[in-house]
Amino acid sequence: MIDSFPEEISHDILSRLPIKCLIRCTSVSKPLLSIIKNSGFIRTHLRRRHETLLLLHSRCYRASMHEGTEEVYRLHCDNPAFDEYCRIDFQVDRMVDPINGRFRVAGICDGLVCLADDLISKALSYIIWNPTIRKAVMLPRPGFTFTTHGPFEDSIGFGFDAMTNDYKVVRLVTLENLVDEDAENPTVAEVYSLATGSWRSLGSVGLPCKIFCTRPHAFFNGNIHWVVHAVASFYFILAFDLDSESFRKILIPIGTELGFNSRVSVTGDGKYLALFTWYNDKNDISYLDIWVMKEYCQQESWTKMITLAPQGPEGSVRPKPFCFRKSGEVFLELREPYFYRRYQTLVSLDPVSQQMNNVDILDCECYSLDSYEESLVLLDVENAVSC
Amino acid sequence: MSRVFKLKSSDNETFEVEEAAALLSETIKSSSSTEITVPNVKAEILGKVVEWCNKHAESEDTKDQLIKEWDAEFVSVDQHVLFKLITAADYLQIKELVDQLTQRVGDMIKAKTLKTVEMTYPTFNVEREVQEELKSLGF
Repeated sequence: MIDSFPEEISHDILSRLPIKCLIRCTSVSKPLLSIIKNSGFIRTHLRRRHETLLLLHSRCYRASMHEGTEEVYRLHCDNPAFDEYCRIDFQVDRMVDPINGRFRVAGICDGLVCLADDLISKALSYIIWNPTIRKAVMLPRPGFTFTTHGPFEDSIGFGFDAMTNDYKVVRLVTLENLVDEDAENPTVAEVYSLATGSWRSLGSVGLPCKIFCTRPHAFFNGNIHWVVHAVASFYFILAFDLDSESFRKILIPIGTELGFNSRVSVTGDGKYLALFTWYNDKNDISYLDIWVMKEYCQQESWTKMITLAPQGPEGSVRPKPFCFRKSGEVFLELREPYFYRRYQTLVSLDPVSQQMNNVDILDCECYSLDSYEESLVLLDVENAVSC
Repeated sequence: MSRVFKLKSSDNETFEVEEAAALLSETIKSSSSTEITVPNVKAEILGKVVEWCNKHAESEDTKDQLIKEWDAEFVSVDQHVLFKLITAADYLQIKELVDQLTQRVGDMIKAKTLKTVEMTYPTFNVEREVQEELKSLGF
């Protein structure tokens, strides 16, 4: 009977459902399956706001501590209680053995997770994965490799090109073996498109900059953003517009010098580009500044949200930010220096009141924590493998 | 002086509707005549749609708790009536009514497909009993 409704109505009804329900619906009848697998429906479902979740990637002790630890992916509700929403069974690492021991969550967009095997060694192995429908696409080897171009540093970003309806992975590569005229512009880029299934070189970024290490990027306003080093040792934010495929420079707040650990992010409401910068002063006391860019690309509009007061004895505790919550709070890890901590402290910081609440993550070491929304993306991609 | 519209059901019953209520329907709004026949919709269903429009025309504030409760009761009908109401509301293009009805169908499907204690995502092979339950919903 549902197929007797106009398409708009059946899409409307089904787009209100969470993924767990839709998966069950696909097995009920051929018409239902074809509605749910339809690319148009997948986008309709995506446009509707579903529950805000958080993807936690961590290492946890098994039920009995003597059984050692296991790597875990879990979805949590973005609520004060941080309730567990769903465990995720991840099987791709049985097909692709990461040389670094595990993948890293490099980026998330529209329910797709971009995984990278680049923690220490550059395996040049990337996966685009939808954990809720258990589908994944393994990316082919990129163009700029050690074999072809010599030693390098790289950093990737992941986002959605609304003009071509395509998900893209962009890779920045700073080459070390360069002849003189290229030394000014050592950074090149390439882009992978999910639609074509292949990498394409973009050549030189065109702006003098360097990548020193892999840092989280931010996808905002149709652009992927990275903090990069300018060749003259100041920093700026490099923005790549997925539609026009052009690079642009966004200046950091006036009068600041970013510490080595600086990264971009997006505020919880999705409205502003944000900047986390943490640094030590001359007494080795750690500080964390959170900035928000009130008007995109206007340097004067950078507004400091908070300077987090030094934490722990003698300010020795390092605050490491993970992400913003929908409420505007920020998840931070507080890690004591110099010795191995079995249990980190994960807290939720209110930048307005500076109040921090502990978040119980049950004896786990948190690798990453990111905002997540369920989707059906990849269900209509033929060569996506089940995992 | 507000106009009065006449809505005729497929079984030839006529409902008189005041302008404020009638104009909740985009179809009626863009019609040149004040007499509209609604094909494929019987009097029993059309009467309910008119009742919804009357209720919503008289209450300015749709966020009011009382109207929310009234709406919740209104959509708590059996699925055959529900599906027919959707067809009518869709033909008459009454957006808010369509939203409430489709939300209700969505909630019914959720109830039949979401298990209370379920901590992993299902795979694409559904259990027999869920299949049966969904079929009973008219899939």
